[in-house]
Amino acid sequence: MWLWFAKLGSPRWFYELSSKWLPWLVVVTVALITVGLFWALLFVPEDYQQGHTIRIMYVHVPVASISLAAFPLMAVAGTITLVWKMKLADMVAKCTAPIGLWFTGVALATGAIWGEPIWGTWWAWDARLTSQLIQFFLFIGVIALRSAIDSQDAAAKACAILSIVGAINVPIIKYSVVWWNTLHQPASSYSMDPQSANPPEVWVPLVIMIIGVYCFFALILILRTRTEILQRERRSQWVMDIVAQENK
Amino acid sequence: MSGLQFSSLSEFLLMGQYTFHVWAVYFIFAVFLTANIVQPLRQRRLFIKEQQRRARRDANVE
Repeated sequence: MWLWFAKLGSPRWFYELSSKWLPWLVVVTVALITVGLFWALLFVPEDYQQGHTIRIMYVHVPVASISLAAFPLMAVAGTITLVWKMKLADMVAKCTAPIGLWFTGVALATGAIWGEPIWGTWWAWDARLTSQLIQFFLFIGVIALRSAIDSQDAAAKACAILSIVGAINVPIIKYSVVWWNTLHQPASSYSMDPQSANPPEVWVPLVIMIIGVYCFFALILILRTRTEILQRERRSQWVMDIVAQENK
Repeated sequence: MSGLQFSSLSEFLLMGQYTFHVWAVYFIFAVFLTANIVQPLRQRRLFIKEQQRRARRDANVE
């Protein structure tokens, strides 16, 4: 178990393993998102209340839910960095921040565009929207903190602590729709029950999009982490070999 | 699965009364996907180029 853990922490091992798995991940991601997009845009029936804006859900919900996974991931990686001083964990934490910022920003933007026709407003200081906006600034804070500290180790520790403390916001975002019943509606249930508000032709493509966007998140995180590994290990022989082999 | 929801291309492009809202969201999604693929690939290419330049320079010094 400990040997496996030590191996997992080895950047080189991660780099070589991810080289093997990356093509498969690309295939799965492209397939899921392509199917999901065609289904969402062409086949999902128009909603009786919100018409074609139902199609916005297939972008907004996957992106927004995965934006909530990014911060805990950064907090877990930060904890591993602090406790076990694992280098790979800090690389993952560093690469998660800009991706999380993108996801949070897109969730806010698509939410505003959806809110305008449905709620009659682009923005409201509703609990869900406000806590999501705080997450947006927290990601900016983590990125700025890292770039402000020259020492790599000190930056890793500071960002780990900020990520762990900032993660308190995640359950607030998640349960904001239950705790404060303001504007944003709670998550709808997925059910096979024909009496349910959401029939399968509405939620099946949504599940496909959620899994597809999750794969996309993993894909771009692995891509960024691989470059981060090369940068930090640039003086070791195996990286020099990769650099030498690459086309000029 | 329910059938195709549009009987013509123009109807599809129009999206009822929500032309702007639906397409703005899908446009943002397209930009988001593209940017997040291009950024890491570009970072990697820049790193490799920089290291290759460095290796050549070191070779010349020796």
